[in-house]
Amino acid sequence: MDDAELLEAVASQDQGAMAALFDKYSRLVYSIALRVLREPSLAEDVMQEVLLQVWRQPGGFVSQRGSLGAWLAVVARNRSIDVIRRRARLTPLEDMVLPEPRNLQRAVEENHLMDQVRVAVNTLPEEQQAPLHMAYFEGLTHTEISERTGTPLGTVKTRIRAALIAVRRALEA
Amino acid sequence: MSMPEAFHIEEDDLIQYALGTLKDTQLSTLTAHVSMCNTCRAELGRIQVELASYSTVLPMTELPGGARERFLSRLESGAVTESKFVQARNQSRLYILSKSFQHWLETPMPLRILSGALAAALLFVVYDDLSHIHEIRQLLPEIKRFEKDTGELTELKQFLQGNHAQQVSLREKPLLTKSPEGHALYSATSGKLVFTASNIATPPLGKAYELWLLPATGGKPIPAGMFTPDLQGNAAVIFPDLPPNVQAGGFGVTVEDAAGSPAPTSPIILSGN
Repeated sequence: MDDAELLEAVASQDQGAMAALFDKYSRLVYSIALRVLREPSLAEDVMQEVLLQVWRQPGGFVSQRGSLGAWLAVVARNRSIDVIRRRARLTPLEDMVLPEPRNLQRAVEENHLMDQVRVAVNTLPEEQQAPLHMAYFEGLTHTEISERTGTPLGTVKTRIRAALIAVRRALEA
Repeated sequence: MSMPEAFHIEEDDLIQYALGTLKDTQLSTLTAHVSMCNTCRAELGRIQVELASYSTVLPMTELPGGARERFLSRLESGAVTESKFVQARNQSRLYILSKSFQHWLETPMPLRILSGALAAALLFVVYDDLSHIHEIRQLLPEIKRFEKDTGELTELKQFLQGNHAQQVSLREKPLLTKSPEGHALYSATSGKLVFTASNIATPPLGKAYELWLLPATGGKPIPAGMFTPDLQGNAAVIFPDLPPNVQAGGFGVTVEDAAGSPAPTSPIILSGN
């Protein structure tokens, strides 16, 4: 059963379909939440909330999102950052500008592409990995990363940009 | 709806926009621009794909034992629609305490006396509960602010996607390369206006730019918001307070005191009809 079929079943309140969706994506959502929160119980709370959001509003997702996996990844990350910052005013990515569905589909569901991205990410120099990790999983601004690491702000920007360029090349290969 | 843009957001700023780490002041300006600029919207989408891809290829962690059962149990219990706020309220020990008191009144006298000895200890619990309620109350303004922000974003999105609004481009005359320019999107019916500007010079100390709506029927210019440019010379005015049902003959921008002026006091430096 693909995501569209799963979501259709979830929309009809099919708990079996929701369980299948849980089996497919819970590890991804939990892993991202855990990277941000570093506390298993909090990460599990976020994982539950994110997946229950699909249960409550599956129709909203179908009409607007290209890839369930990518969307869940973004939502899991943002919810987790919200938890650690509490007062955070994150850009509401889920409700703002969305990538073209076919691009997300291509980016997240085509395994060979993801393998390429995985290789690209694994081979990123540590000096690029670290600032991207701090920005994405800790929600730090470029300035905060600069202050924390003692690296010039311009260098932080360059390194994060370079890391994303590596991901882009893998996606376009 | 889209229109040609004279500038585009730098990639580093778009990355921070996608990460949600921009300051509020930058956020509103960039949101207005991205809403109208196809190029920046596409670039932002590409960055979002790259970030999502990055997060999905990192090694995953196994779920804690029993996580699946806990999730399915919650699903089956039907408790999924309760917000955490409601749960917190229902789980409040004050609520539990009040229920306990009702049971206590129905208890035989010896047990009532015995339990009375515990009352002092319970007072401490009540105090603790009050502090929890205070914490919850402190969250209310944040919840209201979130609801307000969500409403405003939805309203902005609907306005920008509608096709009942006038579009006016404001340019300096004569037109020069890299000259200041502005774009106004205005609906007379609703009195809603979104204005973006680029290549705007920093105003003198204590001064700011003021946007004016020039009524089509003549009459005094109507103040339509103050703005100052960011370091790149970009600025935006979103949904200023304007009366509805005023047909615009044009828009103008002047330099005024930073506190604003009820009427223009200096020459119009940008105008458009």
